[in-house]
Amino acid sequence: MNPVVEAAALHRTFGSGPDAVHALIDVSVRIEPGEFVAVEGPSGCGKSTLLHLLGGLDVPDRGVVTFGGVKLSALSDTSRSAFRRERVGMVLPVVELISTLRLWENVASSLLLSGKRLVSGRARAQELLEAVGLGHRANAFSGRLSTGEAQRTSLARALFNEPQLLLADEPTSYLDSVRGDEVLRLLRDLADRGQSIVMATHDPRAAAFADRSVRLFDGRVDEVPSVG
Amino acid sequence: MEVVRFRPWQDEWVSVQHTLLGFMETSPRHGYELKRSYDDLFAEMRPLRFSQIYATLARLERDGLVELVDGEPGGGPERKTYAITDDGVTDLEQWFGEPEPAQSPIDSTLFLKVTLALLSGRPAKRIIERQRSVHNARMRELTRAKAGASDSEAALLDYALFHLEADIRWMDHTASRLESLKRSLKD
Repeated sequence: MNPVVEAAALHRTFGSGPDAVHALIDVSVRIEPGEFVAVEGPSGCGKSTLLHLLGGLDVPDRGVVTFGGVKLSALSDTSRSAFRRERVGMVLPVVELISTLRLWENVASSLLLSGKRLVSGRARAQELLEAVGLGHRANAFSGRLSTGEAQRTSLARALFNEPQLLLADEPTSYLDSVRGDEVLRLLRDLADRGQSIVMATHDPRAAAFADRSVRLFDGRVDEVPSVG
Repeated sequence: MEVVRFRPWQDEWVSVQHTLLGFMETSPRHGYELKRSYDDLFAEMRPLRFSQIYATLARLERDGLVELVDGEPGGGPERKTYAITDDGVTDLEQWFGEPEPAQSPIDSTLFLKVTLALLSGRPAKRIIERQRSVHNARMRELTRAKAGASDSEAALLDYALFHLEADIRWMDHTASRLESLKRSLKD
């Protein structure tokens, strides 16, 4: 089976000279369809950088990211942005919702970027809010949400375009363990239904929801002997 | 729930005694009912045999913490119904009121292995990494088991998960300090 995304020998450096930060050094990963992979490692190990490269939010200095058969570095910035909007969903640790919009409008807000009317996505947004347990709040304004509800809304928003790959960057770091588990269970359920997910986390309990872990340390993949 | 195996309780007698008293505080029970209540909630944590239940009941009755309320004194144990006494409630209250010692598993074999590996020049990081993989796999297994578990089962699985997480945090913390640990051991 072809992978959803494959990264080969990625290098990414920020800055130059003595201040250069080598965020990723020779990193290769392959994500199969329906896989839920945790990218684990301490703060500053390169987890977010890897997610950004896999999702086409950034490009590597060296190495190749192939997403659904397309080499992302071969695309122009504009094409890459459009590609990303269609194929990649993103969940971040700090959720930014538009407080003057209702929940369902936030979930469907990517329609605005493609010049469509929000209302055309209402049914889909409602369905996604139901899936994350917030169907009853679809008409609430997002400014009135708890942190856990906001994160679940952002997950619904990330799924709106039926992305081939869902990237979750520390999705539970600002949630207590109970609210965090709710989000992680949703991710697990999505993966069980075939959604490919890559999640960056420094939390071993969060990583345990995934099928496997890729561990990064100082920008390199930590070779972990395969056990179990 | 067969995935959970716990270490034996430190003080087995005290724990069994208070578990049974706790059940009887809600209503009088006979041995079979006690066994069923126990198995429903705690058997995965630590199995308890009928003989242990009857031996415990006999000791509780001798100490005046429970009393026979139904069944012949000379009859079979399974037909006897026991109720908790006022002394039993006091004893139970005392047990609830006393916090358990904060156990530190300083007998950790992993700590021994890491220390000895550093002293003997073996690859301590690899030892930690292999252990971490085993812990990771175990945590995934327990997390999987939580899907479809009852609240009580999930609470037990979480208990195990949080403890494994603490182990992993120690491993990561120590793995990033192996060089200085090695130097201090050789001083």
